[in-house]
Amino acid sequence: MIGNGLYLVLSADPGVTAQLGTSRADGTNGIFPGLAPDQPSVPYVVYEKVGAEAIISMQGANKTQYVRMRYKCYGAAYGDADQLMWAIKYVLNGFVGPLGDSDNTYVQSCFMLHEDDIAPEDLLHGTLYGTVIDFEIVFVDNKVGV
Amino acid sequence: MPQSIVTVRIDGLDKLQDMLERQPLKNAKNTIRTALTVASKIMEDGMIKEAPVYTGNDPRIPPGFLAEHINTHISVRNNLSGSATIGPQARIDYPLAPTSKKAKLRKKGSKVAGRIAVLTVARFLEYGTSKMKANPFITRSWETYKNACLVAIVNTLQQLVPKGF
Repeated sequence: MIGNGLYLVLSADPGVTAQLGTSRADGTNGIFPGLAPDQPSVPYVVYEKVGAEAIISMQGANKTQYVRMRYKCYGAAYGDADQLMWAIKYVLNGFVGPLGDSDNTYVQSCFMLHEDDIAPEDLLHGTLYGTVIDFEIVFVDNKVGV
Repeated sequence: MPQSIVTVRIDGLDKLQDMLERQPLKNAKNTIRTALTVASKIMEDGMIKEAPVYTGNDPRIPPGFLAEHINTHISVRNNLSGSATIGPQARIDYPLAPTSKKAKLRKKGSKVAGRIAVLTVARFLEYGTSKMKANPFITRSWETYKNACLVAIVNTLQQLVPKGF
């Protein structure tokens, strides 16, 4: 699966783990799908799939697929969120290769599509700053089709 | 290991630019504006369809308020480049309920704490919050309707750009 494969790539990258920290108080690696758990340690990143498209083939369902992934980076300071976003950008922008997941997903191209800031959120224990980065990814899913 | 190479070739853009530049500037700008209007209508309608509708009981939040305040701004410049900005309106706030204390105390022209803009609500929905999962309706609309918009632009330009140059 593309989401899980990219998760493996990010969690193994020293630049990303340096930003997230290796011994976090919440006991996680700081990379969450969809929604972060309650009271996570900062900084952390939430990823989600925000678009997908089938590449039409006359022979049936195509192994080559397109997906748009979004990474939302949060920190106690804007700089923390921004540095985490850059660490992810350094890894994924231009990435080509296998993801090392159980489906042996192979990324053919991965490019940054969009960057933005998330409105700061005032929480009980402080302000949460966020940045967001989207990637468009063409990949080969070896479990489907032709 | 998959090594297929996809080649994308786009022909005729220089010819199209040449055709547009041979027209009077006003006509060329109108052509581009029409193409952008047709395409942006598709995207705007899609965004309205995708916009979440409030289903709770708070009377201060009219259901469908977000979808009602999505609009398009089209700009065409003299160098024949154009853009369409489609999305929630920046300067519209959610109304306060007439019975609320804040609404009664509001003086003419004063800002009321607690007011929230449609654009802010849209950002919270698009990116989520620490407590709420994102509902990226703007990105979803773009991904769903971008190809239809491109086709609409191409078709409109084919109809409007004079042949024979």
